[in-house]
Amino acid sequence: MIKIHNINSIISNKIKPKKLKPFDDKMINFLSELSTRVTKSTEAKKNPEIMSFAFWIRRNNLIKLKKKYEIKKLNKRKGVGLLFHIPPSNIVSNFAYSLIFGLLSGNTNIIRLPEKSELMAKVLIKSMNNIKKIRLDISKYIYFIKNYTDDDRSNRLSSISDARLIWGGDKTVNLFKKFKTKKGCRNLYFTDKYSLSIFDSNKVTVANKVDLEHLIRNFYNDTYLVDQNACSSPNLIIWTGSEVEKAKKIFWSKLLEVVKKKYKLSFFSAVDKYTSSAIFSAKNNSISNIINNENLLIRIKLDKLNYNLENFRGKWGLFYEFSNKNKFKVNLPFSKKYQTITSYGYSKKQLEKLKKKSYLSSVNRIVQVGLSMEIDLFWDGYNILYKLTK
Amino acid sequence: MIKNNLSNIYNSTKNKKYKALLDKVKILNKHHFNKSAEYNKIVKSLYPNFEKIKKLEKLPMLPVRLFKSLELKSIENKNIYKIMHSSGTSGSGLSKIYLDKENAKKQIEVLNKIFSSSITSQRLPMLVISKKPEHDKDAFNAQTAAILGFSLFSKKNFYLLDKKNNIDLKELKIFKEYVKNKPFFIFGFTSKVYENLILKFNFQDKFFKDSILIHGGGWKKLEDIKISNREFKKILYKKLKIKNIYNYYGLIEQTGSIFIESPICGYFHTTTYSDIIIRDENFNVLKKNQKGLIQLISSIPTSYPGHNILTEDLGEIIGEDDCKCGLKGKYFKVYGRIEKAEIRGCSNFT
Repeated sequence: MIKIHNINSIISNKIKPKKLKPFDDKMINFLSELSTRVTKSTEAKKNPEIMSFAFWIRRNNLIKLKKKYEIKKLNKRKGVGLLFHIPPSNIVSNFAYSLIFGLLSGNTNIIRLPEKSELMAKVLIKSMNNIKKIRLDISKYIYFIKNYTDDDRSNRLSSISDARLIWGGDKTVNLFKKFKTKKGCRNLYFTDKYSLSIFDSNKVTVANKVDLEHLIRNFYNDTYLVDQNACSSPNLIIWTGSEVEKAKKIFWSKLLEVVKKKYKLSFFSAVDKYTSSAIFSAKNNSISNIINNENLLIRIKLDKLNYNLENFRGKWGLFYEFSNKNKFKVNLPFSKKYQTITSYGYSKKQLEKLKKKSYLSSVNRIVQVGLSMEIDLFWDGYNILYKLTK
Repeated sequence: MIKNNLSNIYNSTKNKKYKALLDKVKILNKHHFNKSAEYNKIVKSLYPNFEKIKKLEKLPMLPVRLFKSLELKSIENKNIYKIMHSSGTSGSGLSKIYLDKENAKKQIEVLNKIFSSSITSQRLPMLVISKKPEHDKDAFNAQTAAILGFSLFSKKNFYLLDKKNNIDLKELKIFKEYVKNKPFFIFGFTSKVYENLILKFNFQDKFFKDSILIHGGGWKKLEDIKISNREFKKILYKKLKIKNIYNYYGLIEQTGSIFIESPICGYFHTTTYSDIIIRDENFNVLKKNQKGLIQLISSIPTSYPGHNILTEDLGEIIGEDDCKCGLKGKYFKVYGRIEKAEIRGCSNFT
């Protein structure tokens, strides 16, 4: 039975980790069965985060991921053994994706469940335990544990792990770096990142009503839905092409309509946004202007890009924006912290051109607007399955 | 205790006060705009048409946390006389308030007027619910600032707590002998008063019956243990027979123009030096009887741009000029800090 285990019993019982090949058929069968069951559950229907996770592990997607991986390169490898997952406390479904990294790579997993993820975990556990026809004792691969805060248990769990997946930004990563690990323990650190969007203004101005609504909804999901706190949520919008002003007008006014309808602004976020824009103004000489739409949407127009952008993070609907006539050559300052670029109006080929001309080799992923949260097996510069197998 | 003959700071009515304060704030805006580079940049970018603004509620306000992130001053470094620090609960550091001699003097003057008008102009011995502050000329925290500020009204200070924050019974005995049966002040942070006079002070004592207790600095801790202002007063009366209890509210960023709760109505009142505006999440101005963010205006700050501040406290205006206690001005309630928003996102692990 899969369940939420007692941490002490996990430590004292000495789990003998099971290992599989990456993308083992039995695992794929299990996960796609899980996908079907969870999709049908009433909880998933009420909860978009559970639903999109279930959708992500559907058979077709797993096969697509497998193909993308050129499995041949992995097929002599097996999971490293016991993984310790430390998911972030505030993205409900992150633990589940981290677990999938562990399962697809053929490992045994200890997952520390953030409080907010418990409900989703229970939904998954229930469905997992109902899967009977798969010839795989999945309970030997998944050990959920409750959240805790003391260093002692992190230390002990770290010391028995073959690899650790540490989410939650610089603070958590630095904390976990202090704990003793086995020799050769592999660490995947997910540190603080900076993400942005690049929009082709000429495409925004000609978008039809449906496309535009789609763009707005997707952008909303990348940003407001998570208060712009996800590392893949854009902080900065770069507008390219010759219709920037017109495109901005269309885009922001439409977005504002949606925000007014859907977003619950709190006192705290309103004050925080207002404070951030004041700090930005005080520290910089060359701002053109700041547009504040009733605290729901604050835009800060930059007239150059050579600030230390990482310091300028948008939250709760605060965006920095910059106009760049050239569609392909953007002078982004160099940083190792870039994570995701969400784009609109660029074809695949054009994105390659953009990457090359703008020296964006350090950017890990460029995806379409709306997909910023869709997790991939190449994440934050890690080839996840390669890292978790040997 | 309110002395109406002295309360001219409480008798200005709506229109007259509004006009006078608007003029003062406009002058202060111009002053800080010219003297503080940061203020200048902030106002230019957040209030591009600010010179044309004609209404008090539309004029630039600075969020209170800014004093923690930036060094905001409208004086040259050589004229810094004192820097006040306050710790915040948001963990983003200390706020720094730069005072020159003139501003420090003005703070004392105004505090004196408000205190005398609201409480008493008598100087009495003062029992401070704190340990003796260690003097540091250049920097002191909110509590020390408050103690030193209110010490103006004290004939002599006695400190109830020893260095380890335990009740110093010896000192208390000395104090009792000093005051004999005469009235005296008790001063302390609300939480300290609660901790010591209510929780630790384990005996009933009639000695306190003619004392005047002045406390402030927040209800946060008391709210956590679910004690209202009214209950707080009731317990103090029951236990120590303290009848005269004054709660005050103010920002270290606006030291001087504090608000003192009227013992008749139980509300804070604005004075001719101050005003309050309540705003919703979108910063729209709310009418009376609506709960929202507190914005405070003070005519005192000249050495730093703290004259118009958006706080992180929630409050509600009950009315204006028509309070049953007879004082004019806006009267209001304070509910404490806004709640920190839940952070959704993959950083900020807790």
